[in-house]
Amino acid sequence: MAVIRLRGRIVVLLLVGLALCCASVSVQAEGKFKLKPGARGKLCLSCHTAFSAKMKARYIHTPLAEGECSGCHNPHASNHAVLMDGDADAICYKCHDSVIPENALSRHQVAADGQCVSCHDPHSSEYPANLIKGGSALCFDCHQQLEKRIASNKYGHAPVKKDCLGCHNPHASTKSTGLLKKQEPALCLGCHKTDSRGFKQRHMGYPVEQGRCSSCHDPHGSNSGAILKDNVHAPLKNEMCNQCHNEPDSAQPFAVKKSGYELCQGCHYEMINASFSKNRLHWPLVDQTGCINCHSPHASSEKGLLREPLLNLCGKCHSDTLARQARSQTKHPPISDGECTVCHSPHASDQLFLQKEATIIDSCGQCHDWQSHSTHPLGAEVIDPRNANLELDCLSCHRTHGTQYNKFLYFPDVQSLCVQCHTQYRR
Amino acid sequence: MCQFLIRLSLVIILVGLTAAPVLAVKIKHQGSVYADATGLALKRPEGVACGTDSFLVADTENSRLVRYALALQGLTADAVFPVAKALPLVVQLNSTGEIYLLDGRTRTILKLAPDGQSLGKLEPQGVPLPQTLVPRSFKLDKKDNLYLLDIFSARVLVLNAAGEFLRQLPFPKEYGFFSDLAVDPAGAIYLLDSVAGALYLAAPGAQDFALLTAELKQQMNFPTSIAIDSKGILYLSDQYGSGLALVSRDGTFLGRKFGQGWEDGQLYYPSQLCINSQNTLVIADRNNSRVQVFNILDE
Repeated sequence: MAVIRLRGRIVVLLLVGLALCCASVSVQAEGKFKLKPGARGKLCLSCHTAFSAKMKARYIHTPLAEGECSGCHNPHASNHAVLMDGDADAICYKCHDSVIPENALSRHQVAADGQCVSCHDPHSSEYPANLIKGGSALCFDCHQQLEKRIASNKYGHAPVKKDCLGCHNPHASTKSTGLLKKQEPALCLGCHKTDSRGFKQRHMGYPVEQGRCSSCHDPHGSNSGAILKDNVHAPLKNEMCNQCHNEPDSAQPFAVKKSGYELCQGCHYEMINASFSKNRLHWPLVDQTGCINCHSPHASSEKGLLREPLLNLCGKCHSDTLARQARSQTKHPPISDGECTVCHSPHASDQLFLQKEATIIDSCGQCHDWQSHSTHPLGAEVIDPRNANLELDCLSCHRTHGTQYNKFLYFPDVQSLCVQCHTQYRR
Repeated sequence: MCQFLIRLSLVIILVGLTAAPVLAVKIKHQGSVYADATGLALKRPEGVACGTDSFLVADTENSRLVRYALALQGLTADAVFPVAKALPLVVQLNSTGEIYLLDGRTRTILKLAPDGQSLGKLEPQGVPLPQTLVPRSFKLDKKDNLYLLDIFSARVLVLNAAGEFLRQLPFPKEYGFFSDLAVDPAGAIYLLDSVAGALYLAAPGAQDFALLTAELKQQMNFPTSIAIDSKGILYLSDQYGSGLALVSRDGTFLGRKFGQGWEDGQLYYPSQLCINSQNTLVIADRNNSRVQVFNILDE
């Protein structure tokens, strides 16, 4: 009897479980908005008739094609524009969560910021992957300088003319910096054969196939033969690699003959000696990396064989200074124009902050004729009332790389500034 | 129920207290020095070295050192040591009162007797190749061993009091630029990366540096000098941020002190700092052309 009762209870429990499962499936089928069966995208398109053109495009975003408008939009209400069902810069990652792998060595900032619609049409497009434009034209919407340079180059690189995606990944790269699909030289060796006698001869017998091609060649093309970067270091131009490196048939052909600045001193002794005679040296000049902290030893697209445009280069170490400028209400043109060397001597100086001029007033006076816009007493004879050890100069009131206030002032308004010294006018 | 809620609250408070870093340090301004005994003003002083009852200032752009007595009644200059032709950037005192200074002009370390007489250059003995060395900073420990931050050969050299080589530690593989180092009483060495806002630690007896924290860049701009107090708290002089940052021995950021300005307790491009055994903190307030003295108090 007891066994029969137990069986009965088990059957009842099973039936209840089955009923619950069925109910759950039924809710899922209706979706979270409980749309009428078959309604889905059709229902939306009955009002959004303009979308009928979008639906004729060659490539349609899968949710749209499947009528899942509510995959991205909330049909009732939302805190986001166009009734998006989440932050516009995060919603794509709900499905496309592997676009930027965690172990990426480089990330396309646009993708990392979730600005997917900068490149993709979220509904449909005539281009694969719903891209807004095809080929490199899309990339050049942002990388305009590069486009101009590529267009004006005398010597081009064939893959660049085809498509940026020949070498770069559009979202991120787990293999290399610069969104490259592979690291150098493997990327280059995919097309370029290095075992010919001509190749060896052109590279003075050095095993450059193990090196980094872009330290001499500009992969985007240049105005020099063999797409060498436009400014080539004299020993390289003269095919005298062994001036700095070991002989090509030695055990370590790429090893340099001396370290740091000592290697460069052999030729650039005048510059090095002049720098060493100054009171203050830019310390990286004498660290283990030395001159090549800032200069490319082989070739560069920048003048003076700089590794990068000056602003980027200085900003690598002095990011806080550039950040201050970026935050500043007023921009200082030499900084925003990337001309740090207008005021600073990059190697050495007798002055603090490696200033070129002997005084701050002289430095600022190169551009600002201060007596024409201000007659406030300044200079060696004028003592700062706040501190008898200081003379009044431009930096007494302004911080040249910017403050959060107008005109690089240390204080929010002129009155707050002036009463620092003119205390009798304090309220 | 009420008891349960009280207990729960206590647990939450305790967890909160242990999780959040607490800045248990109070710093009180003791005084500032602007000139020597004759009234000659300091000019862009960059270095300070702490003794028990005095401190030494590298009066950088006057090419001299000025010693001040630390007394309750005030801070008085009691000696001036000219170092003609030198640009003293970093200064240290050994246990016998001898003075070591880094000359920025020649990038060498000069030695002076306690009375300021020149004892010549530090000539390290038995240093392994490469022999070229460029000191960016240095520190002395209680045994007068010298820890030299050699940026040319990317290493910390440890020399004994006679200048003989004891050992070397290579810089870590990835770093921005090392401006200073500190040595605690147990022999742990801290390296300060100004560019990355990172600290590296070589535990006592260790052969290599390991990253202690790389999280400081958001809290400071460009720290260039480091010192340790008696509790093991690290004090970083944030030169471009014109302030002080405090970091615990395990690399936890504890907070900032001071701000940019001209008043006492404000800094303007500070440079070297030092802390003596009585927890007196001395800061070379470089662009204010003065040195400020503080007392570190338990809060």
